[in-house]
Amino acid sequence: MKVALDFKELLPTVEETDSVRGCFQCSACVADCPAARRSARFNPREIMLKVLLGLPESLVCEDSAVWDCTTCYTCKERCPQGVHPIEVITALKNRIAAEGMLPEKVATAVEGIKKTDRVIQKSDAISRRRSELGLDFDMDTDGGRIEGVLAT
Amino acid sequence: MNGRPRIGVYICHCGVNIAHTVDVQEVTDFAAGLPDVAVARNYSYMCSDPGQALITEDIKELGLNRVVVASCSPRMHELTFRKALAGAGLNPYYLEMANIREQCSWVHEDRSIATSKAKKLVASAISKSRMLEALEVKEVDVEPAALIIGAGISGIQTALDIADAGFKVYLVEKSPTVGGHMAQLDKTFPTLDCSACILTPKMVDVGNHPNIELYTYSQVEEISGYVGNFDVKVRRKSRYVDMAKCTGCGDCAEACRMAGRISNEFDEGMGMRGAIYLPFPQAVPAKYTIDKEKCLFLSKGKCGESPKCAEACQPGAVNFDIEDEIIEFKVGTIVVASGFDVFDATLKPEYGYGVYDNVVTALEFERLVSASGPTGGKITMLERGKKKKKKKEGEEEVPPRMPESITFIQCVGSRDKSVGNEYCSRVCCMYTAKQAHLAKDKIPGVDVSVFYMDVRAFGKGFEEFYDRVRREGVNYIRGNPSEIFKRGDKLVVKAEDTLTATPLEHETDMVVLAVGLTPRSDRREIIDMLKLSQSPDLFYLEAHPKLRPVDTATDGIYLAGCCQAPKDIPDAVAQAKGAASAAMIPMASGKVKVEAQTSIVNEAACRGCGFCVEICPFSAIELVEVNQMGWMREVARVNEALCKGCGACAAGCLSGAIQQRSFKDTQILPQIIVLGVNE
Repeated sequence: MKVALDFKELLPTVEETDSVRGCFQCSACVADCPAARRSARFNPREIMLKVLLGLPESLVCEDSAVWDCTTCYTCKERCPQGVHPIEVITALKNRIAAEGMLPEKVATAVEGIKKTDRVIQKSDAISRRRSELGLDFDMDTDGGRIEGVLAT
Repeated sequence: MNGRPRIGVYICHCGVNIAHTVDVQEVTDFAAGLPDVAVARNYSYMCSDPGQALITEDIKELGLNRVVVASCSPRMHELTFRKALAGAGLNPYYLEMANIREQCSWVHEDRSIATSKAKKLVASAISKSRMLEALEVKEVDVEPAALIIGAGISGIQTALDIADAGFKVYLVEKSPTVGGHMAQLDKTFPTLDCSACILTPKMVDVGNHPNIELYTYSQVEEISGYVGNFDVKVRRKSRYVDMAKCTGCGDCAEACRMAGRISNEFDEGMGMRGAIYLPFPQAVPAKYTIDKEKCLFLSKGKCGESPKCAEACQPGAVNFDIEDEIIEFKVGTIVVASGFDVFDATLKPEYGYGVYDNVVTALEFERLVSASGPTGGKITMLERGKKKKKKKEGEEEVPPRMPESITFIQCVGSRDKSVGNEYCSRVCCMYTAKQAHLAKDKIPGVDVSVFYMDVRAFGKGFEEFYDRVRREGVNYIRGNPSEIFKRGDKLVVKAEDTLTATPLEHETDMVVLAVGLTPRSDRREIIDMLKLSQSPDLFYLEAHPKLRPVDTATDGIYLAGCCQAPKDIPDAVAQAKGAASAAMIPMASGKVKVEAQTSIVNEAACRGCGFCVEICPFSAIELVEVNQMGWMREVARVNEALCKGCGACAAGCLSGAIQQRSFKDTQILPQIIVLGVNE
């Protein structure tokens, strides 16, 4: 394992993750974490530890465990130190994207949002459900608005 | 002062604290060239003996009449240098300090910029020093008596020490008995001394001591005055029991119609008492009190034909006509020993305290373990809020079962920013170890686990005790649980064992929350009366964290025990002894010096608006009527014994009629002007 000093210095400077060094590894974030219950490789406390030690190898990679996070924010509520593991995980996801290491499924979802401005993509099942609920059937948009916002 | 000012300027290196960032020689040469400066020197430690000798010799040999010391904050060493001036026969108020450490060398990195700032600060101080005036330090007599607020172990120890030294002590306690939280404890860590056995003799002593006036069930209502001469007003709440007649026999409590129907505060609400009660058998004074909120006669006006307690009392001590009594007395010093509150565990809803019967606080567990507690010292499963079923004829009572497993959770309400308590409560690690030991001791074969984040066993004998408890088979699991829920008749603690990185669901019968110590919810009463400050954790603030740990910012007022910060019994007793000796210094010397840098009112310029009266935090200013050439008008007048020289009135005065000695406009304006000139 190699310590990456630049990685160690980076996270404390990202907004909302600047208190990362306050983590005292109490694990209040773990026991109530729904993702940690289901996924053996996902453990918010260990993610924090790796960030503190500067060990990006298993975090910033193509097969990172951070994508198992459900973004439920329970860790943020439980944390006695105001450290916000969820914000660290989000920062890690951004870093993975910046390094061009997005998993295929995530990359497809990102492309879909860019193309259609929608989080939920058009599919037969969705169309059927919409018509059952009497919602506007037409989901087509020109797209490009999200990209426009991102460009600014 | 005769002739022109002759100023001596002394630049301190403070080791390398100042000299590393400021070119002290350059500042010295600069100062030597300023008008009226007779001599300028620099030295490694001006506060040291040889450093002070430089000043005193120069005063004598060169005839200096002003001294400027450029060093640390005046808070640190103003007194030191004032004494040096006085030692050489110069009025100590001819000293001016320039702070080139905290306000210069410590906060700058660039040497040339720091040096030029230091020069300005020195020039500014020199400029002010020319305008300084000699001031006279007055002395006032000290009343040889002390007021102690709070009669827990800290207040008791303070009172005993001061009383043993021969001074009068007024000990005021809010509740009906002395003893405080320590009286509720079963054993004390790490020696496992019986808490009552070591406390009750001291409780009896304060009750009997010829020098101690004990006011229990009483509250301090008003304090005015200043060190040496505080006027105190105490309300003795009516117990509706004649203290002189009550023998403490307890016939009244047995007779009370409410007997066994009111939850007992001393047992943390787990035991029952009546409306007339003694908190616990060893209470001092051993006199009964009627709880007027709960007493049928006092709250509803009717108690059957007539109140049963009064009928039962043979000496005729019960008297519903007794009223609150206001007592006034004078003291020289005050020690605040008002104690702490236990953290409210309902603020951590994920632990289910108040929802699940067998999630208990550590203080409740303490009462469960105690032989004088509601279960007679048996640790049993609790059924709370349920009324006891009446026994049917011939039915045998099923004794409540003992828990097969007990789980302790540490740091509940401590080291937790989500509830606003960032601090460590210092006692929970060790009382948990003690309670884990007692559980093992009382229930054969019980499974005891402790969830912890870090174990802090820092005190004398603590690590040894923690080691002993682990060897006795208590499981220590490193992890901060995030939730407790119920599955069947078991409680489930959700946590992660961080040492093996395993999330786990730990099943148990009883959970004990190691609740921390918090500032008292009624702390404002004393803050408002005594103008105390609070530290960021909201405990009372000492004057200096290291060198004045029992003093407050106000002369003559001291702190002891957990009102200052969480601490264990040995530390509380040590601090109490410290506060006692600090409080005795002014009483033993019989005189105290009062602030000389007080405010003065120019009555001709004062328009009597009273703004300063409102501003003054020490109630030192009042409006008085004066005859000004036939006109009767109101003007402000300063009580110099009360004035602390804070300067708020001088800054606030709309007419410029108030000036503070040593900080007069004629003195600080030359000081400011120099700072404003750019080179």
